[in-house]
Amino acid sequence: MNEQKPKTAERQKTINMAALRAAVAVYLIYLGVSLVRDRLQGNSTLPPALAWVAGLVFLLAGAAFGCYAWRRWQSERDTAAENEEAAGEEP
Amino acid sequence: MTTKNKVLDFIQKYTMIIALVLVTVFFAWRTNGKILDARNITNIISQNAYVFVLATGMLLCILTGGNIDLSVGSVVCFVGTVGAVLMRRDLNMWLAVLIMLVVGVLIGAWQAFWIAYVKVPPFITTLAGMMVFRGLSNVVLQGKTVSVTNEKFVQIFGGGANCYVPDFLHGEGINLLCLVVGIVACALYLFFTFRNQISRRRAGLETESLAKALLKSVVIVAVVIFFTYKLAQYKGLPMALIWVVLVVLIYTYITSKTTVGRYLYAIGGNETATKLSGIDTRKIYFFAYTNMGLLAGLAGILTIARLTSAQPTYGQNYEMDAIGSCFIGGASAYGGVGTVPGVIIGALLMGVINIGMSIMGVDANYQKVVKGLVLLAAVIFDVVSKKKNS
Repeated sequence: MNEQKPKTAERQKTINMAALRAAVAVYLIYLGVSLVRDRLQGNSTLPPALAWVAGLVFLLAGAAFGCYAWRRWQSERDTAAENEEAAGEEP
Repeated sequence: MTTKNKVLDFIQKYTMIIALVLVTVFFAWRTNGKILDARNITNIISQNAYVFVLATGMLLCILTGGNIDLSVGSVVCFVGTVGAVLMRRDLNMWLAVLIMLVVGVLIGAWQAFWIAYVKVPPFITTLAGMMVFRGLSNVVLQGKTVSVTNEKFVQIFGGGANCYVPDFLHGEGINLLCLVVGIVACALYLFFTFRNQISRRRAGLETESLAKALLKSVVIVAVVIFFTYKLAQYKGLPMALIWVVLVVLIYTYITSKTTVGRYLYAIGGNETATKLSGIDTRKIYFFAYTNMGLLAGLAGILTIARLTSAQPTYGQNYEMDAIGSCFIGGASAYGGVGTVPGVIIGALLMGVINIGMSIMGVDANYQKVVKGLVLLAAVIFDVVSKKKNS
């Protein structure tokens, strides 16, 4: 069994939070892709304008939230590292 | 505190309940009250029983620090497949149910081992599980549908036309048992709520004001009586509701009254401090994910009983419904905050939206758009809250 240095609680939380946000971002992107794909394949029952707008909005929102989640994870990871040093723990 | 601050505080605390009420009122208006018909209320419960069960299990994973289980949909499908195939070969129903639950537990334990003891990130472990068990379901079913014909199984676990608790009290024109259960449930709730209040006051602990407690109790009792009256006007208590209520009660007890429940919150709050207190956090993680497997197994049983068959496509996106319910229901992804009732509210909101749109005859693609918008609203709320806090 691998022996790993235990992560601090704060660092573990930032990773987990990033994973949850990633899942939500992926879901939004998946929704957008499925709406656009259905439109392109002619399987969509939505009006063309709505299908494109909704699909692109979800795609972009998912991608934007994914980027936001990434940047937030990086800043929270740096904050956690600073807090560890301040508390005298080894990173 | 000024009146404005009190109102804002109230809105912030009860955002999800207010949203649920507004959405219900909206659909009641758009469907001319049909969504509040006895049959549709029963359908909300029966069709979304699996969401409540999965979201409860997902909450325990999220309490450990925002961890999620992406494999639940595939586990639901695989467990359902196993059960359908066994019952097709005339295996005793209860043995088949036991095997299905054991399979769920074993899958949960398998994933829990990698997460808790080998420290593979839950996202990765459960993503692999999602693909593995979906693939195994396809292997077993070979792309075909296996029907479930055991009537007793369907009656006890299903959400179909005859899956209701029989009215032992033989009410005339109304299900008397359902009404009695509703009244007893309200009486028990009032008893325990005020007993708790009195105990806390005697111990000198902080309690909410009597007026607030009374108002909250009146609202909850009114809602419960309304729903049980509606159910009593139709066919009474659906079996799916019995299973959901059992799961909710058991896990509310576990998360609020047991040491393992306290440990789950403790890990989510501060894992290092929890470890230094002498608690083996690996066991708690192991418990959370093994439990998720058990509840995914139960959701698999409820799914094949409701749909009376097993297909390789079942359970697709179930994990997204469960995660969405938790995210929308306000469970803090930082762990340490979040209650079973909050998750249930999130699941109810998704359920009301689903059935409201179905009654309105909204196209499936429009439903996707609406679900996406609801999730987007939760995402915006998450981003705005962070900005306000920082």
